[in-house]
Amino acid sequence: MKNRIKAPLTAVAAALVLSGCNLLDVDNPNSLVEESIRLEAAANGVANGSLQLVSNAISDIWEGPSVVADELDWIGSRDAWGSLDQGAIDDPNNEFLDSAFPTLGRGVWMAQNAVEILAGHVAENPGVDSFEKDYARSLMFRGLILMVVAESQQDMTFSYKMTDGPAVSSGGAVIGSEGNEIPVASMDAVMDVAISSLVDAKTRFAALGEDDLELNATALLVRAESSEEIMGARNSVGGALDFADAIPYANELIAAASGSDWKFNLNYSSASSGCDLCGNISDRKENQFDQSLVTWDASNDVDGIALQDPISGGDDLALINAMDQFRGGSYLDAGTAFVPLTVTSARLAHVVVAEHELANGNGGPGGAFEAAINALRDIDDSDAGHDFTSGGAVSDVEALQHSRRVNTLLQGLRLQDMYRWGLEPGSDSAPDARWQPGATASTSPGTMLPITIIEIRANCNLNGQGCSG
Amino acid sequence: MTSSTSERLTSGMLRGAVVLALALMIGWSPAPAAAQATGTLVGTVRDAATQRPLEAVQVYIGGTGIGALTNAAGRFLLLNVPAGEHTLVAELVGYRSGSQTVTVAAGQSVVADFGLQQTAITLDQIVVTGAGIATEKRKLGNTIATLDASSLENAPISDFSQMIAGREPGLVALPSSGYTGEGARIRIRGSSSLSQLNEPIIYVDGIRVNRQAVDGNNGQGNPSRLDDIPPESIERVEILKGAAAATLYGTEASNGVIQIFTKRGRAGAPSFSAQADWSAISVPTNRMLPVADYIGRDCEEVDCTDPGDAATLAEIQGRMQDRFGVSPGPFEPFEADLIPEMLSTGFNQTYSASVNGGSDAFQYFVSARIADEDGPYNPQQNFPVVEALDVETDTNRRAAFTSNFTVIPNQKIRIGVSTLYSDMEHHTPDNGNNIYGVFSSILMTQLRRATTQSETGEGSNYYGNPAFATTRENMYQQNFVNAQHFAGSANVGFTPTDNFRLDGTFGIDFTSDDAVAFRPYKWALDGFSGSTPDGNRSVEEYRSREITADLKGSLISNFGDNIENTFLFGGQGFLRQNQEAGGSGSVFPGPGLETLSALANEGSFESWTRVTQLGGYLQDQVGINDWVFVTLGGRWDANSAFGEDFSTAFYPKASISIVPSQGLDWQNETFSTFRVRGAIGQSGLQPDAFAKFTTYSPAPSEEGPGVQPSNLGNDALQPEVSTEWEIGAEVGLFNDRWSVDATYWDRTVSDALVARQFSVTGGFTAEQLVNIGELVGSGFEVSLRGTALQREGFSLNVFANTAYLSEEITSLGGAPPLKTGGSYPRYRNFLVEGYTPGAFFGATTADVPIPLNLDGSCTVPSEADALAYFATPRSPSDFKPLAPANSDFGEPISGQYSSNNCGEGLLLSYLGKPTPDFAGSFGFNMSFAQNFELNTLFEYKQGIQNQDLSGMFRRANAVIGRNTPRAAELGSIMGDPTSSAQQRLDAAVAWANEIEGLSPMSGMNGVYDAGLIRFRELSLTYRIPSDIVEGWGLSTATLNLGARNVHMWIFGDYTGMDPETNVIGRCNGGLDCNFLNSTEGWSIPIPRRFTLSTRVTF
Repeated sequence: MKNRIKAPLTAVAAALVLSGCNLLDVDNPNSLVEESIRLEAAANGVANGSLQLVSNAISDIWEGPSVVADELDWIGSRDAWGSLDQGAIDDPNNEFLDSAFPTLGRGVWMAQNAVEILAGHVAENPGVDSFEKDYARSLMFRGLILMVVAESQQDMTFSYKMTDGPAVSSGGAVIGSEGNEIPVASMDAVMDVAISSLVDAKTRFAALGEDDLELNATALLVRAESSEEIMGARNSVGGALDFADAIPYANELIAAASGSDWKFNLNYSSASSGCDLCGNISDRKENQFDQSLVTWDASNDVDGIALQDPISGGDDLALINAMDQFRGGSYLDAGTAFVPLTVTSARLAHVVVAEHELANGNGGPGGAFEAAINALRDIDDSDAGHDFTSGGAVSDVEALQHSRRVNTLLQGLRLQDMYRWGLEPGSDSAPDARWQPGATASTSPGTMLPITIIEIRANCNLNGQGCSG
Repeated sequence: MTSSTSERLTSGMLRGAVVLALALMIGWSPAPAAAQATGTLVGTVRDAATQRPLEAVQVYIGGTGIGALTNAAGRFLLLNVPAGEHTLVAELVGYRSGSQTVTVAAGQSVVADFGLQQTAITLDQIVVTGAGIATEKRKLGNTIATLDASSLENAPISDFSQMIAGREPGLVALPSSGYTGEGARIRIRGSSSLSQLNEPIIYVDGIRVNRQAVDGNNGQGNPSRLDDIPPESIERVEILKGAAAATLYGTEASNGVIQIFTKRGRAGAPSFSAQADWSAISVPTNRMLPVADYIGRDCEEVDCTDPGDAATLAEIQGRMQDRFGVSPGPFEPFEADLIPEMLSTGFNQTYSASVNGGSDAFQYFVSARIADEDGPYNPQQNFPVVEALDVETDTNRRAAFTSNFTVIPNQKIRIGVSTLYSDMEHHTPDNGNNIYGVFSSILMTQLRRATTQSETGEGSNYYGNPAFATTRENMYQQNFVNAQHFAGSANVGFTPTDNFRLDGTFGIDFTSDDAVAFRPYKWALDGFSGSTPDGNRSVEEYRSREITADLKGSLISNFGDNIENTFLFGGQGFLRQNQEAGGSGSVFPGPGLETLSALANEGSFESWTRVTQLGGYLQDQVGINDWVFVTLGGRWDANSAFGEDFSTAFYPKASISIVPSQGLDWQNETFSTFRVRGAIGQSGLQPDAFAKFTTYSPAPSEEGPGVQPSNLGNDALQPEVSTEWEIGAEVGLFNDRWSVDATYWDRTVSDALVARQFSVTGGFTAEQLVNIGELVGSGFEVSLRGTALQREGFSLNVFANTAYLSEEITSLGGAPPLKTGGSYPRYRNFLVEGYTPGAFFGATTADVPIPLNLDGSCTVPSEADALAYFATPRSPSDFKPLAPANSDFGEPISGQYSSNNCGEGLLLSYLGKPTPDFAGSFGFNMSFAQNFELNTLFEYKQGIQNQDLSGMFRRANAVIGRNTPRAAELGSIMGDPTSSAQQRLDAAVAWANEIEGLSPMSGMNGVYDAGLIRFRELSLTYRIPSDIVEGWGLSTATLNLGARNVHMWIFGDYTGMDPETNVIGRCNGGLDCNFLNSTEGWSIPIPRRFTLSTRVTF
């Protein structure tokens, strides 16, 4: 009888032991492991991943400053947008700033990680165009996201996996993994890294004969170089800026665009992802085009244009162009989240050139400023009747400020312009749509987005715990 | 032939057909005829007090192996009883066993009836779960609760969750909301994990089954997989409450174990049972505040034009007159009781039937159930029918089939086969925290925006919805799921000798969910919503397969007359595989198209996980003189979540049970039974598959496929360990007519898995599990039951229980506090060291005369300054309250205030905790007038706070709220040009103290004491006398009137409609599922149900 018991027990035990190892070794078909993304076969996927996360980050991070500025008004249910509308830009607990910050952080990290991985492939495979191209793309995406960080953030951290990075403002911040560190002692330094990445990308695209990509890098350099100057000017009210470093790139872009409405867009679709900024305006309707721009009906839908073109006296064509793009058709439509975001454009190059001319005393009738403004206006309507005439009812400064507003709408630039030109929202009547007297945007103009609470609590450099041990 | 004879013949033919069909199914043939030197024993077993026939009483002749269970009429039949004198025994849990001597003559039938006396203590009850083999409770040092389904057959319950709710101290079923078909979350002794699903693991007839929520649905709570199991098919439920009892279940058992035993066949002729239930379902509206508004609100802002503008005023007054029959002046509040218009009386009909029978060698039990419920949500009654669009309903249709077959080919082998099949179709409207929810849209309405109804839709805003979509538009969004569930198991018991037994169980549990969320083309027929006006669709298909293989053996040895040793060994393997696939997109090209492939924008997804667990255990129990029992054991587990490098986790256990009243010369009738016990044990919880590895997931870009950081990875990941000890005692009083059961328990979860948020600029923004936390809990559970009064034809049994729970996060291992809801500020439950998991933190109003931040300085204004400020009309949007400033989850900063845009401190005062200090139930069972029975159950919670989130929205939100009567009153005073400065100031102070909330003052005026008693169950049963029903060819017949959720008393200052509803309902894990508790958000209150039932057996 003992054998009768022992036999099945032994069989079961043996089966468990023999099968156990295999049973516990479970494949994961859903994800790649660390080693796999460093394979050469994954190079293109890494570069594309960088693009995707950078695109997500930008569509997240631009909405807050747009609400603080006079581009968007809060109309929905979530009152943290209302706080931003009232000018509370530096609240690290604001839910929308706090939810956008991780997306931004992840985009920055992935962009840098892609550069590091692709640099390795290029080094080990010299002369292989596919690696060179993906490397140059990764450099461009890193330049793009660091440019947005420098423009949008008051301060920033750069961590690596479980190693917490210090805030840029505290000194000692570096971008990149061990062995690839790039020191960034200020937000200006962050912009410098962005610009050097874009220059490197532009050079590599040129070497590869990738003209379209090179033009993208050129256009981004227009923005990056001009933004760096704006960053230095946003804490006090001033006039036109020189933009000397941006001008060569601007002229190059204008020449390449040859009068067309050339834009560098980040695209979104159901195949990749939606644009958060676009979806909140079009689909969820938490925010709406500002009432200083458009009129609303009883349902808070857009039913007309409020901001007229001061030069033509009619509807502003550049404004309509930008809003139509946001709605994926007519600005009166409901729209979707699957519409492109413009990052830089020939329009921006024109206004940069125009401001440069104004800063250099070339305003007035028949001056270079007037010509630059009209070159810009010709994109929407080349009829002479649409042209700006300096010295008329609309001053050069007003023409510049209006042109910049409508031609860079919802591109993350307006708030800095409001700061540097001393403009405040307040003329519209949307609920809460004005900066409160105690709000940071009122009391400390120039303030940009904070490092938010999710990072503050998690980062040993910021949470008071210290990072030793 | 008389009609009754005809009926009996028909009945007999039916029985014969069923038996024949069943026999053909498994190739069974009747047992040979009995030998002639035997006789027959028949009889009826009744409750001695009430004379109610008792079902499932085990009646047997000691030492012969001859026995049977009574049927629904209390009758038993023992065949082939050897002629001679025997001792006949009748045993049933909850009753003292009865015995009598009978003499059986060959070929004769002897009648032996029993009247059993109720007992309140059940130490001899046989249990299986956690013990490895069938064991009397008195031998176990740990608590194990047993729920006898037969005791609940008259209770007004319609699903498994209701069946276990309120029955056992320490076990709570947390409802979702009042929509039909939503499941409940089950928690035993609070939370034993900071990150993993806190649901107990569930076994049905020895195999592990899916314990999750049914997938899909856009809103609050999903149906529960536990409710796939029809209550009528359940014989009993055994509940292990924690690690001390559940050690043998190893990894995954920290939250306790619930094992369901389905009914089995009994030898004898086929016995049929049929039941029909009809229920009316009605939502209580007594705590629904009317919607209030006033004209002039749109003009409170500084830039507004004249609120008294005659044309504007006349237009609004005209609309209000047409719509609500009122013509309010400027700043004159008015009300309408709109919210109940969403609701009407729902209806449920449920039909079930079963048959059981068999022979000594083969028994069967087969049951079927169909339930169809159309819930109380019914907004379409207020609108004309739109032919082109379907209104979504709250309906739930379930069909379930169960079977149990037992084959006993010889005395050494017993084979059991069990199956469960369930099929469900569930519809629910968009609900919960959802801007497109139907109920939420009417909670957030603003009367002044309302229009009269337009049948064409365009331009109509019947309820005055301020944003997102009209209530009517929301009605046409579809959410439905089709779900199937199959569980099948085979068990073979082999008993080669009297003292050795082997058991093998193999089974598979398979679930399938197909969930759809869908907006049809041009769903927004009022032209209000701009969200995907051309429709969208999301489809999710979820398949889960769980395989159980279980082998165990037991060897019982006796050492002398005094010591019995029971050695137990076993091994288990579980293989769980989940597959998920689906797609979503938007923009249909035209009406009538309703598939993903028709969409203009469409994306898809697919994922797959598999988890393998292998374990083995050993246990030895020594019984000394049959009243002292010591048990030692341990379990080893390996799990694929930790990869091949991980060896095994080991969980030990030890327990002792001493029953002095059995072992000593115990003659005390007052303290008639006494037992003390103690147990300590461990079990674990492991994370999901792949949590250990650093991974990158797909991130398709516009320029091609890409990858993105996904899981940060942690090589050192291991299961968290829950160590629990408990001590307790059971006392039987007054000859066991009363019993007291008390247990104190203490639990420490070490190496607790914390979902740690690392720096989000480190690339991996998702939290990573790390074994760094510690969570402690303790509590006591006391239950009292007994017979208060007993006389001929009348008895009154009462019961009461309470469970005290204390929990604290003692360490997060340096990780930052975790907040439910991510960055969403309205959810205020946090995990913070030193506090109860899920504790509420947020803003409170400063305790100063004028708690207002009027100039952005965060200082308390002087009365003069405040009066100057309110010299002109103001909107509540113009100012914010002052709140005490706190350090980060620490103490208030003395004398410092915070608000929006100013102040150094944070708005993080401790506001309360979402779990009760005390929870329990009480009630009584009364039998009277021979055939009547009245049952009640009350549940209560004390020492608990709730957040009234929908109330906060209704009070405070500038865009979609401020519509409660008080908010309208205060707002109108502040905005009215005719108010005085003092009136406006007083209103503003009241606003700060009562109304203001939401961000940036999240938590303010939202968290309140919410202790309650709920009259959960009431039922009156009439048992039609047997002499009548026998005339109908039946064995028993009962009529039952039941009511559920009869009434609720709230003892705190809670402002919401129903604190038992929660913004997160039945869910499948994660921080919110575990700890986003006691937050009422846009829920339909839990409805009352009135049920008429009839049940017959034959």
